[in-house]
Amino acid sequence: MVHYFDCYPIQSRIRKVHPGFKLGWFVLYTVLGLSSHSVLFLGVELLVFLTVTMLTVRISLLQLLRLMAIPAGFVLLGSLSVMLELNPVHPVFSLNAGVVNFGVSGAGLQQGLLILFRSFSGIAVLYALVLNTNISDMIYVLCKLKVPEVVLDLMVLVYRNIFILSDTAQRIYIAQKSRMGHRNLKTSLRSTAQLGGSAFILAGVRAEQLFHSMESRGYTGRINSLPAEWETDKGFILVSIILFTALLGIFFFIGLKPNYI
Amino acid sequence: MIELKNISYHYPDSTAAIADICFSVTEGEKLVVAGANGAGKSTLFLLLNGILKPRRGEYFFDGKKTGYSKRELLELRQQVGIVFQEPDSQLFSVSVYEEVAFGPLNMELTHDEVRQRVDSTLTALDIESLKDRPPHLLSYGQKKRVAIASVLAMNPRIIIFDEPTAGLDPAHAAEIIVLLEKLHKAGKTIIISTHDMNFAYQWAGRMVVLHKGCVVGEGTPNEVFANEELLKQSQLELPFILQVFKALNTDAKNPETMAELIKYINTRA
Repeated sequence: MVHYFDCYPIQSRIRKVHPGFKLGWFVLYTVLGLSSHSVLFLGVELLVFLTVTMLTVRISLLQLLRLMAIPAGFVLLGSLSVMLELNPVHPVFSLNAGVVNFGVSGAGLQQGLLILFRSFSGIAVLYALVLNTNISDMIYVLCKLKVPEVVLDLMVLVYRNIFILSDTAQRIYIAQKSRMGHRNLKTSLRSTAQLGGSAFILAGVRAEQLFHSMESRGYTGRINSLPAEWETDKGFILVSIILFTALLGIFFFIGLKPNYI
Repeated sequence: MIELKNISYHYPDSTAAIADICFSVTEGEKLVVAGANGAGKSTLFLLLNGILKPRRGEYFFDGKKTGYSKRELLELRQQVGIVFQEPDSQLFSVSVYEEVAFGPLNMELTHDEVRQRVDSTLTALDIESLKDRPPHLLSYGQKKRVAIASVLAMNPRIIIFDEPTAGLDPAHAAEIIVLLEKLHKAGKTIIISTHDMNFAYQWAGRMVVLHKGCVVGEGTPNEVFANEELLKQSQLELPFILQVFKALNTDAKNPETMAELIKYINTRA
């Protein structure tokens, strides 16, 4: 069974904190990260938010890194493609392949590392938000920010239907595997193609049943929700202010100066 | 309370589902709708809740003909709740609390009234501890309770359960049966469909048997199960209690529960 993200906000220590605070901190730290040219500062921000997430969500570093592995691949590939050059000038590292030289120049390395650390620190800040805030709180804040109702309703339905689609795809995969549908590459490719088509059709059938169930309970096109009851701890506010002040100080001290390790 | 007169329905692909049936429900009764797979039970329930509109015939609720305008359907759905067989077809919200609040919020109650209803429903079904959890992370039995709670919170007069014990282990099935009794004692009219004839025999006050979209039999459980032709036609099985009692070859009154059967056997011995 796939371990879904939304089991983490339930166990978060700051679950009851008003989501507006959490979204606000996310915006502030993201802006800090995007404004910084310093790999050192971004590295510090990354470490801080990995620690914050581990402490608030109560998961191990390994679990957190596994969750971050999803976007990590894209980030690594992207950074690598920036670093590598053909015939680099003043290369830090190079590889002669006959006619051409592959290598990494100083400027390329700096740029690649900046992209790498900026992306990872942004991901760490985003995960800190996502793993500590459940989707209904997020939707509440977006509603207060005057995001159109139709967008919010779609978000709820897409959120739910992603699990329907994922669950349907898993069941189809297991059914296929039990009949040797993935015994080798050829059968696997054929089965995966069938899974792709069938999953959407079957998920569509389940979605229609879901719609009937909503209609049977008076749904007329608008998903109403209750405002939640939050308790924002004064301790949380104090720690947040101290953390932000500290990071802001580091930002002004080293964050604006370009450097790399 | 409910009366269907010459109702027919076929699906868009022309699959006939219900053919010219006359069907009624009295307030406060415990009704079992029985029939083989494909007999039309689920379609009948969707018609009762107003999800499907009959192609022909008339639907009367409390003596008044049901219209299918938005307002009339909302009024009907506040009175007739349906708990679907598969809880995954019913649960969509991000938490159990929101799922149970969904129906009451559509009834234009105040937020305080909604909270009160949700809290009391969660307590009644013993699922308060699940209130912040996403429904898709629950076990099947828990999902079933949440699905029931999501309808109960609307406080309908009639509650339809499509195969309420399907897929449940004996312990959870027994809990659902206890819940059905509680609801009935609280004044609700309960309509269920089930393939479990043992349960139907012991629980139902009246049974309606469907076969290929038609009503082929109606009556008390004893009347229905005494009709061998009917059972054969509609592919229903005699409940175990009656099978054993029949084998005893006696003219005594049919036992209504396993305990009565055992007592009778012990008496004869």
